[in-house]
Amino acid sequence: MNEHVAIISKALENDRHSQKEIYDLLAPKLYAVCLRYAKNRMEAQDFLQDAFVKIFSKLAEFKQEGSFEGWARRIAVNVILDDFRKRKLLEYSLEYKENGNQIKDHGVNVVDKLSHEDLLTMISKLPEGKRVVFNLFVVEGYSHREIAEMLGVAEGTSKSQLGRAKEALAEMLLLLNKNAG
Amino acid sequence: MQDKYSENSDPIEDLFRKGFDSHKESPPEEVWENIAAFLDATKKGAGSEGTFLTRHWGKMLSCLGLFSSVVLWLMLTSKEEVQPLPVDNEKKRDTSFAAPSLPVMVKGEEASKSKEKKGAVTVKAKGAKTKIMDSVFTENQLKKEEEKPIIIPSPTPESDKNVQEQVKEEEPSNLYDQMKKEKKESKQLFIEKKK
Repeated sequence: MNEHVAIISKALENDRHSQKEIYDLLAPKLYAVCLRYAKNRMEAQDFLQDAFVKIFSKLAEFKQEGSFEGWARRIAVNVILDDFRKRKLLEYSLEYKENGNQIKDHGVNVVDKLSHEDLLTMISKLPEGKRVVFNLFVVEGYSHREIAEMLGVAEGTSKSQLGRAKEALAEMLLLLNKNAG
Repeated sequence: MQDKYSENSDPIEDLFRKGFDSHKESPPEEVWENIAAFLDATKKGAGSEGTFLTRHWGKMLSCLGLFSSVVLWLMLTSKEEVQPLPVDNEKKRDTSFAAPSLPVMVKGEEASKSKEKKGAVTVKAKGAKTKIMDSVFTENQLKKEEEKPIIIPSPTPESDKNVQEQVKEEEPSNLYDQMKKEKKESKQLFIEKKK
């Protein structure tokens, strides 16, 4: 049984204290998720707000079988993807030739010096389509097939977007290396 | 979902995966305030008042009833307007109200026609009247027309025949009775005179 059963059942009765407890439990992790997908902090806060509104409205649908945090995280990601779809921000360039060696060759020597903020800044510079695929595959751990289903694209498109994203990030790391050196 | 750390061959993937794995950050207080305000609004909306339609259905129904009654009243009044105008305004009246399929007869025309057919004045005039009544003339005017004495022109042999034929066609039984009575009366008078 889920450890949050009591809080969830109270939150379902519109108990504000329980709702705040759920918010305090999930908000830091979900805000981190939103920050990775958003262009800036303001956008991330909007995503978080929408995500919690959805979570509280769908709380009755949570079956208390799996992880509550995982369920909430999926809702947050879906809210973000819906927003991108509405704004038609998910555009994918099709031309990509996989060139893994180049990425590997680029310096990842600055890795130890990079903070969360640096990584977020790098990711936020990616176009929405590439950023979404990179986050879904690398951080959330979805497969290319799952990503293709979620975004309504071909599996190849997901792969190509990931490749392009990694290429762009590698170029950014190279620049950071040059500046550091 | 894929196993997160099963394929760590790519250094960039590894870098970001590890970098974000333990990432947590508290959002500003405004976010919770906004969420709480939204939850309050939905709670009030769901609990007491409901949607716009359910809240205002009574008003909407009454408006609909009022509107339909106004439309009905307008339809009825528009029908009344089509009816003929009173006699005083008859001179100003436009003949465009007449039904297009029916013949429209003006007084002058009626008179000329009646002159042309001298013998059949009484009967034909009545027929003509009914047609005109249907199309143009008002009831008041018809009453006036009926009140007018029907002038029978001096009988000519031709006209007499026509009149007799038409009278026979229209009212044969009455005329026959009258003739019988007249004959009886003339016989009685003749007998009395003899006596």
